[in-house]
Amino acid sequence: MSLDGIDPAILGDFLTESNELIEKLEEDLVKLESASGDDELINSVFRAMHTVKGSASFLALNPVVAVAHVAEDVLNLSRKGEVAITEGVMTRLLESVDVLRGQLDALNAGEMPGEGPPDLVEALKAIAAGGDAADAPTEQADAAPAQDAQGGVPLELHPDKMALVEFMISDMREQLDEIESLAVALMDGESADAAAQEIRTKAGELELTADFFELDVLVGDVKSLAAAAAEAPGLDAGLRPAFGLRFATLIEVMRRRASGLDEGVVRELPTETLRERIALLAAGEGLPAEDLIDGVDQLLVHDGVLEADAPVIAAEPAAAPAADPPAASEAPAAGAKPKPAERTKPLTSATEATIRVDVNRLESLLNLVGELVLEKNRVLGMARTYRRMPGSDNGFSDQLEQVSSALDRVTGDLQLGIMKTRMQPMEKLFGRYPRVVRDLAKATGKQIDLELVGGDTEVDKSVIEMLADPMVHLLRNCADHGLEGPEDRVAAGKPAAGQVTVSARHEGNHVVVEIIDDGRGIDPQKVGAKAVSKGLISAEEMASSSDSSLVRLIFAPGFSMAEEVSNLSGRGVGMDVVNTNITKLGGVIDVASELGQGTTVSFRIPLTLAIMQAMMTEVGEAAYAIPLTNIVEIVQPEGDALTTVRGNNVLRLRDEVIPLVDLSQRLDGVTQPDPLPYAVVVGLGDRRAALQVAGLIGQQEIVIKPLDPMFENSQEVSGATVREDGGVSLILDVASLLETSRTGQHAGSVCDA
Amino acid sequence: MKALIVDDSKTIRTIMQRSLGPLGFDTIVEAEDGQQALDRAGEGLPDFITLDWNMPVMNGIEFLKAYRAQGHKTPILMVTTEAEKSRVVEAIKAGVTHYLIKPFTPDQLKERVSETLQRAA
Amino acid sequence: MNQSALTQLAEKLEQSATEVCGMMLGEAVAAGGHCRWPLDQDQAADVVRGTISIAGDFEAEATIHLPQVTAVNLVAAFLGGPVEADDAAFDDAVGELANMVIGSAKSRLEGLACSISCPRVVHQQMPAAPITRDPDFWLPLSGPSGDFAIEVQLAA
Repeated sequence: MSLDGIDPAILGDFLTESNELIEKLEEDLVKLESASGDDELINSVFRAMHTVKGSASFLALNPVVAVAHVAEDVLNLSRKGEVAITEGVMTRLLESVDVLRGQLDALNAGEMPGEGPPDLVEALKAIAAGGDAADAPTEQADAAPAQDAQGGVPLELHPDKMALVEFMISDMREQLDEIESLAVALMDGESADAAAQEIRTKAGELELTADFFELDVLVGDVKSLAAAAAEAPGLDAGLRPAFGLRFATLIEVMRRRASGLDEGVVRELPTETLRERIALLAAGEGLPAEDLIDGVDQLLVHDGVLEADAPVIAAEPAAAPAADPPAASEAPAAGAKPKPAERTKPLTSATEATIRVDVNRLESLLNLVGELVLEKNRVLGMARTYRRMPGSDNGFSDQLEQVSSALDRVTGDLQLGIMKTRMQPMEKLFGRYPRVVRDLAKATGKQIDLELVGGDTEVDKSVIEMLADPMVHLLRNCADHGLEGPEDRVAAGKPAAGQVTVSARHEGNHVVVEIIDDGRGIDPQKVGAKAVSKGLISAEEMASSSDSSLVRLIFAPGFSMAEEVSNLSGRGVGMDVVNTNITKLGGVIDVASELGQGTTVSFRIPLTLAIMQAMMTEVGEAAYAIPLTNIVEIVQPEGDALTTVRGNNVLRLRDEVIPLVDLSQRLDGVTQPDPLPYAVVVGLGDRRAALQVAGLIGQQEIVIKPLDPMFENSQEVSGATVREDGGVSLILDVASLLETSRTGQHAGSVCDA
Repeated sequence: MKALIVDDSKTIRTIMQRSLGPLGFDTIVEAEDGQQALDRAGEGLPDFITLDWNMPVMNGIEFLKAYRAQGHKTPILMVTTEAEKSRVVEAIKAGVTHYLIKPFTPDQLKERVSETLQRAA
Repeated sequence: MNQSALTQLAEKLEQSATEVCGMMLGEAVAAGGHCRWPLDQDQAADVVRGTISIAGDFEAEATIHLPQVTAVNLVAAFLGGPVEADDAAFDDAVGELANMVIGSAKSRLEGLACSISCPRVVHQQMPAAPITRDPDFWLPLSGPSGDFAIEVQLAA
């Protein structure tokens, strides 16, 4: 069995939806552990699992269906109160979530996932069997391949038209969504006329589209819809609910047609009865009581669109949980007899407030904005140059500056707006931590109370992605090394359960994330001794270093604190990797620890990675950009400020001695005869270096471009940018410049030299 | 059978004339833009229209919308270099019957014209 | 962005020129021939140019340069008979040729939404006035009707 038969677009939708569902489901499961008996929660978990199973079976992803199915059974029994969610059951359920996630990853990689582990499946089956077996859901529709379910003939069209079908379907779905939203207004007296008019316009386009693709049944449906919409504004209030429901049903039928077309099938879905009844309602005539059915799914059966014994399959392969899956699964049985009115609002009145946008589109928008910022910078530069030109026209110059400052403002707003669309709440990361911490606590035998603060803090999507691994690593460190076992804690006069707080907040253009524990803290002497034994610093350096700079050595490359490698933190992935990742994000990491009281690891990361403020500097022939966030200050060294210590060039600044880097020597291999006039003091954490440059061009907003492959191995540059004058400049990588100017990497230690 | 050729290029109109003749059209009318096309159609409804997209005064899409709004079902073949799917869908929603992307061979044109007529029949 | 779009356009122009000439004129045309930049004195003295502006995600002007002899042959192949160079139909055919070659190439640009202008046709019979700058792209083409070229200038 391969994935060849599955439309990549549908699979993509399925993966997106299912991953989201699984994430939510996992979160809810963990909550459920402490709030057992919360009906809402367990129903939500059940629905999510049910939807994953339904969507997977729609795509005939049998290994996924098999796992989701047994997990769903257990959940179904537990929501009926027949299976208690004990710790053992919970662990199995969480395992099934892991297996499903692995299967989705395999699908994402283009492979058919393997079957779930048999022991897990058996265990879940056993749990389900332990409840009232008679009530356990039977096989239902799971096994039936969806394509056969609703019948239909293959779509046959001229190849040129065929090539357009996919495009047409997505357009058709959009139109249907819009019509559905308008239908809400249609039922509301005030705006009904306008809504009717708009529906007819949309229906008109849809009809022409259906006609182009020679879909005569769809043409009929659309016409019926348009005709009904026209009558709706004058409709008697008593008839509206019944009318609205059948209107929604007709839209649902068209969605199913769209799904069929997606698979290259023209579904039969006979709508004569449905259309007839809509027309009757629109004409102000009532329907006999036996035809007043509640629920779209039930109506589909009642009006003969679907056969009563046909498995009900959601129109959209990856239906959102809102599609009310439990009702859907019961529809075949319940559809034949009217049910008491439960749904008073036939149409979704909450029109969708969000839309899903392909990340690539946002990326390309962001790139375009980047281009725009560059052009804007050039315009600003030109305006300035023009004003300084001898004989320039003052009036024109004023206008030019007005225009360019307006351009500056609008571009800024646009940039901000686009950035905001890429922002995601930290919740996206936080959501996983309860589970991570639960597993960590189980594995270490420690008790951990996790507090998450500021989950609504938004940061750029790429930042979220880059943070995921370091954050989990830090949590593991907390559980593994930071927190003591319950007995030790009690002995130290602390509560048995360790407290871990993860918080996020905005500070200006940065987000600050902190991971705080109340554990044993980091012993600076131990860290120092280890660093000396590893040859990272000398014994003298250790003696002269402050406690805080010793603790900070945990970030040094090659340093791993765990005295024995535990299976939690793993081997070789230490804090230096965390540090590297944060630095890659242009962030700064810091650690503060008090022995016996706990540790706080914090990092500051820019909200976005694509655009930054930089100082443009002249070095030899070229101009280099130095990120403003890394610049501590800029000085013009005079007299004996430039000197040497232990044979290394340094800058003496007030009471600090800072290693000096001659950029033209470093970058071009050219030694300048005279000392360069400026020194840009850069810093990361409390490491400092002074970069000598020939001149300062000025502060600019720069757009970071990926480097040419020829520079990829270059240590000192992290990217390129386009200057106001259109030329290209390299962006200096301050982190690696600091790394290689090791002479007394700690300002403090050099002081004493 | 009456055909209406709408294209701002005399060259394309000539080529169309040459291809449509043998297909059984006894009257062939030409228009240089959408506005002229509406006028010509008003003088006597055609049985078939070939339509360019990019034209001065009134472009092909504007013509389509105006023409379909008058309720005419005439089969219309759009002949244009606009090949992007989003553009084609725009034309479909405005009511074209079939679509032919330039460049085309005389055979392709003939085939597409008969398909368009068939679809309408 | 314009530079990468130009690379793409260059590729598509060769394709579309071959297709348009092959399908509409029945002429096998391929890259090559003597119409190279800069044009020599004789070629430059008598040229018909059809220019189309491209606007949108990518901004440029594309021009098809037809030495007089090539132009007469191509137009005859297009219209199915000889046409005098001062006939309006002549300019229309050159314009339509430019429209199809450049429009079709533009339609194939991936990820770039652009629109094109109506063609402008110019007969240049004076000794070549210096073109203000070197073309950003120049594609010499050759076929039975003669040699010609397509030029692209990025918007300044």
